[in-house]
Amino acid sequence: MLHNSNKTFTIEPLENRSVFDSIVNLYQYRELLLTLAWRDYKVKYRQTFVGIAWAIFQPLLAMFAFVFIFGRIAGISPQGIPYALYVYSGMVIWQFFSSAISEASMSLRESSQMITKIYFPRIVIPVAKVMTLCIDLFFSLSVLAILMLYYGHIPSVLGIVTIIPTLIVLFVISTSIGSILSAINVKYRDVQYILPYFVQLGLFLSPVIYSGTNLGAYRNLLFLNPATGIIDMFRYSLFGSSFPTVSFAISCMIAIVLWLFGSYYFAKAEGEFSDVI
Amino acid sequence: MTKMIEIENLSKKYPIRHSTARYGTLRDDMMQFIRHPFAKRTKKEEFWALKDINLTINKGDVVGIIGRNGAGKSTLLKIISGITKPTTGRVKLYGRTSSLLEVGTGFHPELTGRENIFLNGVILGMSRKEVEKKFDEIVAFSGVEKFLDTPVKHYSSGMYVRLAFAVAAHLEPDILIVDEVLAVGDAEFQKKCLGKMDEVAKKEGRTVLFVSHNMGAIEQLCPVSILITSGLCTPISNTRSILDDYIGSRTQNTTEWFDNNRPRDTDVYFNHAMIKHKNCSLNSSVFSTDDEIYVELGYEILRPLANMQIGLRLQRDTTVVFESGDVRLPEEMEKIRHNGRYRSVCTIPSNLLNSGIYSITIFAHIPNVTEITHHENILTFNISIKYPWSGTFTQPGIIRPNLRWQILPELI
Repeated sequence: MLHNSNKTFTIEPLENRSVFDSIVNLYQYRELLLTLAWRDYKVKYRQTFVGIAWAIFQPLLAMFAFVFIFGRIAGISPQGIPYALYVYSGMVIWQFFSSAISEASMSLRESSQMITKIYFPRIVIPVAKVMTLCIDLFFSLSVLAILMLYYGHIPSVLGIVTIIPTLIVLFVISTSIGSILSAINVKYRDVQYILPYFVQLGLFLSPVIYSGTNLGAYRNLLFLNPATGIIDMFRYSLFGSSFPTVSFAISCMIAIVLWLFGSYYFAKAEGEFSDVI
Repeated sequence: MTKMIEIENLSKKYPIRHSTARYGTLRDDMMQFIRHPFAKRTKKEEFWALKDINLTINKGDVVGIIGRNGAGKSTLLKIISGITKPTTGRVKLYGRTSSLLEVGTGFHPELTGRENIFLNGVILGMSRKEVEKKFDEIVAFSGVEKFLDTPVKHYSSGMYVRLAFAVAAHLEPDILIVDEVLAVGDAEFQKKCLGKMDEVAKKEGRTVLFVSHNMGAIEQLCPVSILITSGLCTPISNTRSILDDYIGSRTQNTTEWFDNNRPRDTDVYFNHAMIKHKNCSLNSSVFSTDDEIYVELGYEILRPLANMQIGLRLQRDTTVVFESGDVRLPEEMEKIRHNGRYRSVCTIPSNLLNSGIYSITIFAHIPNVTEITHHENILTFNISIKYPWSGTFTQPGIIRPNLRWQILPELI
C-alpha cells in the first residue's frame, strides 16, 4: 500500500529529501522489513541438508583452515589469546560484514520484479538482507561463547556491555555500504564483478588472521578496511585487550559518514530505480 | 463529491536508449566525463509517455482506462502507484491506495502457500494482523486448501494465480489501481475475479482505476472511462461512448487483415480478410444497425479437399453470436474443392445485430472431423444506433431483428 498513516499523499517529480527519511521510512514499513528478512531467512537454507548449521560451519571451517596453516607455522598467539579463538572472533565479524555487503549489493537487482510492480521505500530491501544475516551472526556468536568457555576465557561485564555498541556500528556500516552498492548496482552492473575481489582482499587487510602489531610500519594500511576498528573493539570486549581508541574512532567516523552519504545517495537514486532496473 | 485522486499537468519523459547494451557501464559514463569534463551530458533522444494529463476522480468512481499497447496506460498507473516519478506535474491521493499491477508480486517459489499469503499480503500493504484475520477467507476464495503447506513451485499455474489473486482481492484500500491482472487464469476463475471486482467497486464504494484489454470487462465494471492515445488523455466520460470512439479510432488493421507468410504444411491458407459496407468501396469498421455488412475472406487451397467449409464466427466480447460457413447442403459439402485461390464472400443482413462491438474469427474446417486453420478475432467492428433523433433508440439484447408486427382490432 502506498501509505497507511497520513491521509493525503502527493507524488511529485522532485521531493525534498532529508537524510532522516530512510530511518522514518524503515520505521513506517517495519512490518515489510521484518517480513522480507523473514522470507530471506526461510528461503536461505531451504533444501539444504544441515540447514541453519551452515551459519556456524562457515566461520568454523575458515577458522580451522587458518589455524592449520598459520597457527603452527607462525606459532603466534597474539596478546595471549589462543589463536583459534583469536581467528574465530575476527572471522565472525568479517563473515557478517563481507556477506552483508555482498548480499545487500545484489538485493535490489534480485527484487527487480517487486520494484517495477509495487511501491514501497526501496531502502527496505538491502536493510532486510542485512537483518537476515543477523540471525546467522547470532548463531555464530553462540558458538563463540561455547569456544570461549572451552578455552576458559570469561569476558568482563564491561566487555559484554561494550559488545552492543560494537555490533551497532557494524550494522550501520554494513547497511550503509550495502545500500550504496546496491543502488550503484542498479545502474552499473560492474559492482557485482568488482566486489568479490575487494571482499577477498579485505580479509587480508583486516586483523582477522593476524594482529595489526605484526605489520609494524604498515599497520595503518588496515585502517583502509572499515571492519578493522570493529574487529579490534570486538576483541577488546571479549578478551580485555588494550582499548583500540584510534581504530574504533575511525570505524565510528566511517559509519557516520557512510550513513549520511548513503541516505543522501540512496534517496536521490531511488526515484530512478523502476525506470533503469 | 469528495475528490480521491487529483492529477495536475502530469507528464512523463523517458530517454530512448539506442545502444544494444541496455545497462550503462561505469566505463561509458567515466569516459564521457574524461572526454568532456565540463560539457553537459549528450542529449539522449526523448519520448514523452504522458503529456499534460489532468484528471479528477471522485469517491466511488470506477474508471476504466482504455488505450492501445504503448499508449501510456501503464505509465499512468505506475505514476499513480508511486512506482515511478513523474517528470512534471503532480498527483494527489486522498486515501489509502493500493495497486495491483500484477498478481503474485513477491511470491517466492520456495515458500509454501501459507507463507506466501503472509508475504504477499504484507508486500501489498496489509499488516500481519490483517492477513491473519482474513486468512481463512483468502484460503477459501483461492480454493487451494489442500496444498497450503506445499511450496508454490509445485503449484500448477492456475493454482498459483488463484492464490495470488485471492490475497489481492482481500485488500481494503480507499483507492484501488488494477492493471490487466484478470487476463490470467481460466474462464471460470476470471468470472469469479470480475465478480469480486464488481463487489469491491459497487457495494463497498471504493474508487477504482481499471485497465484491461477485455472491453467486455471494462464495460461491465466501469460506468465511466478515459481513453489514452499516445500520451494524451480524454476527459472522463461514459464508457460506451469512449469505447465507440476507441473502436472507431483504430486503424484499418481491424477492417482488413493480411497474412503474407504462407506456411508449408497447411491445406488451406488464408491470405486476407476484409469488412466493409455493402454498397461502399471503402473499408469501414463503423456500421449502423440498418447497414448490410460485407465480409470477404481470401484463401488458397493447397490440396483437394472434400467436406471442407470456410467460415466465420462472430463474437461480441466473449459471447459467440453465430458461426456460419460457405457451404452447407450435403451435396455441396461432398463436392471436392480444388487447388487454387478463391474468395468466399458473406453478407450479414441489416437489422440483425444490435449495437455493440463485434469481432470476427475465420476458420477452415471439416465439420466434426478436423480444424484445418483458424485466425482469431482478426476483424473488429462496431455497430451503433444510427441517429438517436430519428426514432431509433437503444435496446437490450444481442440481436435487433425487424420482426413483423400487426395491430389488429380486438376479436369479439
